[in-house]
Amino acid sequence: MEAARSPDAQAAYRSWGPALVRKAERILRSREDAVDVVHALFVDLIPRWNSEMDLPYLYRAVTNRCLNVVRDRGNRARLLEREHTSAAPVGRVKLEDQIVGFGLIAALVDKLDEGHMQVLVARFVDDMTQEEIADHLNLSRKTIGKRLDRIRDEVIALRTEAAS
Amino acid sequence: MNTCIGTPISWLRLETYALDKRDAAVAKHLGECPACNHCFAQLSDDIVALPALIVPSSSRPKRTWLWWLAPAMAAAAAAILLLVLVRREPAPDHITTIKGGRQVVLGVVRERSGSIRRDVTTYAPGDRWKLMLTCEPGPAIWVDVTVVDPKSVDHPLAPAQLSCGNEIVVPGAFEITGREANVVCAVLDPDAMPPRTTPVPGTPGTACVTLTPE
Repeated sequence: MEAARSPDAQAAYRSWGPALVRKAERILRSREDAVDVVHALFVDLIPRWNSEMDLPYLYRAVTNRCLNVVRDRGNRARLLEREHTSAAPVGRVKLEDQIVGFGLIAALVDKLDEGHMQVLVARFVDDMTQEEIADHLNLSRKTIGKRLDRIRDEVIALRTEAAS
Repeated sequence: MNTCIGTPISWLRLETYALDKRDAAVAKHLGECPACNHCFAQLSDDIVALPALIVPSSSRPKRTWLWWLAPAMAAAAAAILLLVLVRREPAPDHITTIKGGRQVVLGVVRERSGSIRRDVTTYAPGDRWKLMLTCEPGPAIWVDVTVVDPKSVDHPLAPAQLSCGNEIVVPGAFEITGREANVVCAVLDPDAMPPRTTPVPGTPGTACVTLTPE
């Protein structure tokens, strides 16, 4: 997929900001927090903006920022509480028959490293195929497959833990 | 509605298609798949209210490192001296930098007979004023508000500790009296409650706005 490029941060913010907010909202289940994440990202990028910063690049940056929000225990508790009042995610791609919502991301964020969490979000929140993820994260298809296996193992372990 | 007829079109591809309508494969899939079409309709109908992206006027274009000048070390010393002597354009008083390098933008809100405006800095008797801070998310910061006129220095609000974000409202409101310009300053410190001294606009950790009578 060929990505459009934007010569300046303001134009990129106007064109791609809404798409990035929707992406952040799918992870955080909160529009308000999603807007904050995207706004703060652009504020940081203004001084070092370059035309290589296309929509896929910003998508990855938003994933990292959202995962940082989830890692913060205070944010996590607040967003977990809010998740019950937000609309359920669409869930076209499921993980072990489970829609990946904020609760599962929050449960996995302490068990998986950054690389695995990026793959988890790309596959089960952004609904990318393994080929797309490999291209998006500049990794081999084999690595993506291994990481997905590890993610599944962790989800099964979580279920076993919860059942016992 | 949630089950795709084949391989779901990723949200990134859907968003890209919404922007340029160029991917024929996406168009074809959307014509056949109710689940992906539902997702596409969701993002097409969505309206996102984004806050203004404030570009700090003090930001300067990035200087490129000129490798080919490396051998001319003597010239570099002269350049450093020149840089020190070059007068820098001062940042506007309502933007400041606090410890840790975070930038903070001060805004004012005027309430007059129920009418609220953010774009004015003139006052009349009875106006109520609130302050808003925009800063990069991070550790909470202390803020103390000081109003300076030619005769006095007031602290109309209690010092408060605020989490950073977009247009965070400083708790409390105040009125301006008199017939002279008043300088309203937010004195900021990420570590502790700022000491109550007369603020100097333009110094780090102090963001000020001047309110003038009508």
